Amino acid sequence: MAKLIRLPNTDQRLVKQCLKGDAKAQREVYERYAAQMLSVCKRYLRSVEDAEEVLSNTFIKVFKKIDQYSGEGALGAWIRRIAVNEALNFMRYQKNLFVEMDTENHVEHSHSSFLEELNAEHLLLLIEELPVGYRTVFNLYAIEGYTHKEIGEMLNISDNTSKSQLSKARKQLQNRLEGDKLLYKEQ
Amino acid sequence: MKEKHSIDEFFKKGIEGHQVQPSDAVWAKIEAATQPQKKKKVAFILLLRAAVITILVGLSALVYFQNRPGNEVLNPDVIIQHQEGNIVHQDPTTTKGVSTSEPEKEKAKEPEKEPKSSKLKKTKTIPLMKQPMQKQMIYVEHIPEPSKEDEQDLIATEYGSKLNESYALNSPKAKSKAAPVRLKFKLSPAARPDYSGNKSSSEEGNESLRDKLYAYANTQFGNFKEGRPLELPKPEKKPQIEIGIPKIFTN
Repeated sequence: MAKLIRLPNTDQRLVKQCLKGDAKAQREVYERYAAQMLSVCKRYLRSVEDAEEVLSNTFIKVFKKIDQYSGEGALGAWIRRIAVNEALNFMRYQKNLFVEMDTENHVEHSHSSFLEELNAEHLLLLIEELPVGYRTVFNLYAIEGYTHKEIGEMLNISDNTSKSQLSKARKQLQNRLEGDKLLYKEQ
Repeated sequence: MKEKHSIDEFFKKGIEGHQVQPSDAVWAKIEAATQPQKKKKVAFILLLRAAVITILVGLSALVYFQNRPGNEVLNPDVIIQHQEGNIVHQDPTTTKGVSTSEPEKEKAKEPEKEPKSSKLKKTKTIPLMKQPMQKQMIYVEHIPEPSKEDEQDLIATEYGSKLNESYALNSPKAKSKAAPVRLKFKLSPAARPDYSGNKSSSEEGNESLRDKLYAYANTQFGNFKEGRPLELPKPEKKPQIEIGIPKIFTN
């Protein structure tokens, strides 16, 4: 009981158990963060299959390198960083990152369900529609909170490229949102 | 430096906490990659169990087959020599006030020694059920010849019916304390109805057996007088099975 009181953060306890190779603790960490991380992966990769592969790679890495987790930040944030890195690695292996990113044809989703509010699903759909380069930079900068410098290093592009990709992404998203609102109003 | 764009915030807040449930295959993949040692351990334990069972079965089989007589045929001669060699008797008439219970003790003592010596020689023991009971029933008769006090002839014969008549035996130890006793043994194998017919009928076979028994009895008695352990007869011609006869049969 004293141990429980000393460890108010259950994540920390789970990490300790994971360090001992406790399979139950690993399972609990997975249960706690898998769905969240799959959402992150899916934002980068579009296809559920790819996202799930990245997700499994992420957790394999998490459990193998759990000793490198300092315990300072939240466990979720640490796992999320690994997930993002894994997603970027996956995209690099797919060799579809920033190849003719501006001219890439992106999938146009039908917008038949605008009666529903602009919920998370819908917003994700809008992000998903972005070309891969726009989307990656937007995800990293706007959602994950990396700086342009960091993004440039991660994606092996210049800061300016990152900035221009971001502004283009914003523009497209803005247009989509306004178009949706317009559609919604007309209805 | 980092500008907070409204649309960024809008999206960030909008998708916050969004979750997509992964399929079960994801965890299976993770489990397979992160916990391979567990499977190896299980496999190792299984292997260990199999090995232990194999060893146990092998050992028990070894013990079982070692205790079986196998293809070797029991030689009745060996049994006779065992019996006669171990039982040393003295004439009942020359006993001077020695109680009859003493020889019986002697009798009980001596068969005890035999299994020990047979163990030392690593002889094969035959399971009780497989021992030919009748062939081991050997009785020794004493025919007194009181020509000298210290010299007697003993005739060993075998028969089943006269067992209860003639065994008021004397311990040679009691005598050897007082004065060195010289005993002369004359062992004559009588008709052996229980044995195979060709052996008992042939005179030569009897003669050689008599000589053997005589020599053997002498050495045994010498051993007995000097307190040395009795010896089992050694097979001369062919390797023979030596059988440790259980106490209940020798009594």
